[in-house]
Amino acid sequence: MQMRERTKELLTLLARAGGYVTAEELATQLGVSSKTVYRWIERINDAHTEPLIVTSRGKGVKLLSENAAAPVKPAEPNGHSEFSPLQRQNKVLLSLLFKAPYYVQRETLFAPYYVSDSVIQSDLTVIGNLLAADTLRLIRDHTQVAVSGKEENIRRAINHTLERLNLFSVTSISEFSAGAAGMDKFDQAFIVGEINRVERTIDGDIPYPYNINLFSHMYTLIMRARNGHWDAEDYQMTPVDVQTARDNAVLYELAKVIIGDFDRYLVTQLPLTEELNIFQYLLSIQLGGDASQLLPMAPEVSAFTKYVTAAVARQIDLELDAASLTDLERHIQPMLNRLRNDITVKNVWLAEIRRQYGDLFNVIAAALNAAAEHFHLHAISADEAGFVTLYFARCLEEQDRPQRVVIMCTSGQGTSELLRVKVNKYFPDLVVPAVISTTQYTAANMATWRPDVVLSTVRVQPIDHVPVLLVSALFGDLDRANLHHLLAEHVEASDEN
Amino acid sequence: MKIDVYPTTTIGFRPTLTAVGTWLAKQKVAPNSQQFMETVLTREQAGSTSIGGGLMVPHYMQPGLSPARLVAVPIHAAESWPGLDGQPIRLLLITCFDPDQPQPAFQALLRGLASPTAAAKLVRQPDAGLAQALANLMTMEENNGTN
Repeated sequence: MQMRERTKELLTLLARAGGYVTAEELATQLGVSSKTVYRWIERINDAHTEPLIVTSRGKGVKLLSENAAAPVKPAEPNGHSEFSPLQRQNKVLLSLLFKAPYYVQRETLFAPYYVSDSVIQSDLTVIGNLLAADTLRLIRDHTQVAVSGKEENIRRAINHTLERLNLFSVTSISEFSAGAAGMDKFDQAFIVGEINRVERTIDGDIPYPYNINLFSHMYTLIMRARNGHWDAEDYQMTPVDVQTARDNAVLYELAKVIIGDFDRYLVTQLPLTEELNIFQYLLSIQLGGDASQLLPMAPEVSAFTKYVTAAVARQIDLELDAASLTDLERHIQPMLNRLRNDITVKNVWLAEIRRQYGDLFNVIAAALNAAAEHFHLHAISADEAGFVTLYFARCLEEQDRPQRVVIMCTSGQGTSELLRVKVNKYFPDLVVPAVISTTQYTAANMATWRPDVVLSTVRVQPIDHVPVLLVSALFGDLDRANLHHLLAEHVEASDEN
Repeated sequence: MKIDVYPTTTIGFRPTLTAVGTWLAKQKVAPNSQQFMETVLTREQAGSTSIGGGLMVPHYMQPGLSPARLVAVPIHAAESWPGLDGQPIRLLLITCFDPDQPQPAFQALLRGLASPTAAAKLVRQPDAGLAQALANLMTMEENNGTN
């Protein structure tokens, strides 16, 4: 990892800490020595007109948020570049892709990097190879270069380049913006405004990594529209497009509104394909809560999910309960849409997921790819497999979770309180997520508390097959024996499943 | 929570409730004795509030009732009806409250009564010291610095 990224990591840690943190703690988190941390701090402060980080004896180090806006000192034109060759090549490539199909002067393209002619020649060869991998061509003569190829391949190549520049290895939009070349504060404010519009429509936040994906797509659209050119294909919606738009009318209307905003912002008329592109990105977001109602579940999603869970169950002793299965389907649906539309997501937690759940990750990745083959889909990336692994990991942890008992009486304040004390005394390992009144005994609350047993001093009907044990406020020997028996039965039933 | 002590020599649960209900109606806590008794008995039918050791905590739940009241009824009659553990009921702690409002003092009292020692001590308490003993139980957790 390059020095610039490491120092960025250090700044992120300091920003998160919000106050003083010791160099030793930072060193542990960054996997370097304290001495290195101090060296990086010096380097960061040197690079700014005002020090960004202050060091205090006995307290540690702290980010001075008031100096965060301090301008970076202009780089010395001494021929020394802060970029590695790979970063330089990708940054140049990105500029070229944004400007495609227009020619760019080689001199202008490489001016920020202070490199020799031979380095330029060798960089252009590398860039040509990278473009070829995305079915694009680098056209070059003695003084200028350009990219030629289909717009969909250019967009794909832009995504791959952003990925190589580690721009997807961030968890916040502000981090992405900081590294996005050519974007000014107006562009950033415009895109954030559009993302807010989406969030208002879905009535919730767009979770990571979908927020980064949508932001990067909008960023690419602005850069392409402003710097480059592409022929608007005379695209007609296919019957599948029409049906998908009809099935997801709210999101399709939203896509139309967003493209209308882009047209006004860029003073242009974007083609229908852009409307459909935005629509596909919106479909690729995993919507939670009520917003999930905006996306009806396609039958193939259930089939794919079942295939994966069955393949996993053949390898490990793990079967998802109904709620987890629904959660997984809600993740799989946009994932399948991403696969179909070549939308890639980066998973910043992938290394950690592999470290913590290595075996499980391998099983999930294999199951996903077997399913992809079975359903004639593209191969599924490790990043995607990482996200799916988290669903199964959660279930594994749930299997080991302590048993849960909700305690109830008519008011939730009387005998149930007394019962809670007695349950804690006689069953110290049980978790009591809630002490409730009969009016709070609803399916929605039960789904939240997920009890194994409801212990009640009043007679009620079971909800969602969760057994209700009627006990007296005495919670005597017989009540305790009954609870013990019921919990043991529940464990056996879970094991059989 | 306001605490009242209402000693009685009445025999039987229903007659005792009638007597307490009449008194609470005069206090404007319940509209009348009949409504009070029906409300309390409806709750008892759902599950007894006998908590053992001669104690019972009947509820009079009335939406909008404020402030909450606790009526301690020491039973001084020669005979009394048995609780769920077979012991004769010697002390009724009738709680009158709005079920839609949180009742932290009531909850604290019930948690305190989960201790058989505390419950037994309360039942043995002379009438004169009963209100203070109940107040102590309700605030015991606060004084111990716990919730």
